[in-house]
Amino acid sequence: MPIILRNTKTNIRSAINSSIKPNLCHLLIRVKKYFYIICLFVESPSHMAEKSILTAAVKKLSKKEIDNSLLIEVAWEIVNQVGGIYTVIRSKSPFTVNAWGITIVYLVHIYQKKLLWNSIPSKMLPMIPSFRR
Amino acid sequence: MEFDPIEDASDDPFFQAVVQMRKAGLGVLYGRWLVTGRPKVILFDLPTVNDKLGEIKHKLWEDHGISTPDNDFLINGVIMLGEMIRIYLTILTEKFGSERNIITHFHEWMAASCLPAIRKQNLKLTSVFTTHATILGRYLAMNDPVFYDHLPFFDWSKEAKHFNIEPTANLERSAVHSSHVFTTVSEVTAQECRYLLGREPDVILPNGINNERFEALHEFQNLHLQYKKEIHDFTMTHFFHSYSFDLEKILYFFTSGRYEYLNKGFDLTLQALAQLNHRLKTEKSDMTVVRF
Repeated sequence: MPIILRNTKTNIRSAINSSIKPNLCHLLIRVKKYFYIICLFVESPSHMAEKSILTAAVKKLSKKEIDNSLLIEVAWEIVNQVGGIYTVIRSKSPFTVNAWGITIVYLVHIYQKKLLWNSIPSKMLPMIPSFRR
Repeated sequence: MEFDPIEDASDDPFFQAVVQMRKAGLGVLYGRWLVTGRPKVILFDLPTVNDKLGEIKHKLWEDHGISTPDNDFLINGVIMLGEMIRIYLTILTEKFGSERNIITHFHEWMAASCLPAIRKQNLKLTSVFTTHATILGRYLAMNDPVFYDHLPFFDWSKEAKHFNIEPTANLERSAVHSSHVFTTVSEVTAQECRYLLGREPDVILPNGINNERFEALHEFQNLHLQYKKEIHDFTMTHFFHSYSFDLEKILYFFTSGRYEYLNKGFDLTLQALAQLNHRLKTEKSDMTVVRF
């Protein structure tokens, strides 16, 4: 049992208790029969303790709240081009973009050079430091 | 990945943070991902933090007790991506954290190696972590035919040692425990999370795929006919040497995905086919099922 886990847990509790922004904004949208997590709205900072509060507090964000937010979605699998997680993220992206407009961004890595040689325009290559070497 | 760069978007908060990261000598690209919806993406050029890798790993060990191997290509990448994301989010929260709600959503452990560090820094953001499957679950399910019956009795750290996946299991576990909201994709994975990761998922969000892309339009119907003919040809050459059946009364079934017998449920599929075969026989049906 790594010591870290106990430490992280207490860190989380203290972080939540002293949270500067107790309203964690998350929204769950339902499109047809699929659920897409975009965000959940948590009213209480002590949601770790009481799960029921969390489930009860899921609600849609208003347009104004969305405009005032920045959503960042991270997935290693986006560059894989195949596979389950890639398909899920790719096929939900139109809905996410529709709901969030300019306030969403995906974070991806450049690590396997082979994948990128063909897809990045050659004039862009000097901008990527690791290609310069 | 098909990607179209954006180079002038000075009023875009995401871009401003990218520019500041570039000034620090890190390779970051900003642009649009060329799929439906054209979402904006940021590409982090991982080799640009390669020289700091030792330092990052030391911090990971010192602050969070996670030791990582020296020469694992995937884990090195995961840790470098984590560092890049940590730097990016630090810049973003410093600039915009007080005026805007910043929400981060991480999929799987490979994206989330920075989560413990982010929480330690107490950045002004909220984090959602979603597991689509657990690492230990993947290994155990492959090796244990009655995995779900044994699930409550596994000791996660012992099993992680046994399969030599301690670093990844620890990374996943630390991400799970340091996210604000933890979600998973099904009741079955929720059980895995409960016993192998030690945290009850806050919400279960089933994955779906958008089947608008696969709707059959006129063109597709024509293609469907053409391909069906080709599949018929294959079926005839493959089976008709030995015996024949009516091509008009035939159902083609397909599987997709990796051929992992237990993990991906091919054992269940075969069982289901055997039951189907039995029913077709007892009801004296004239249909034939060909399964790829």
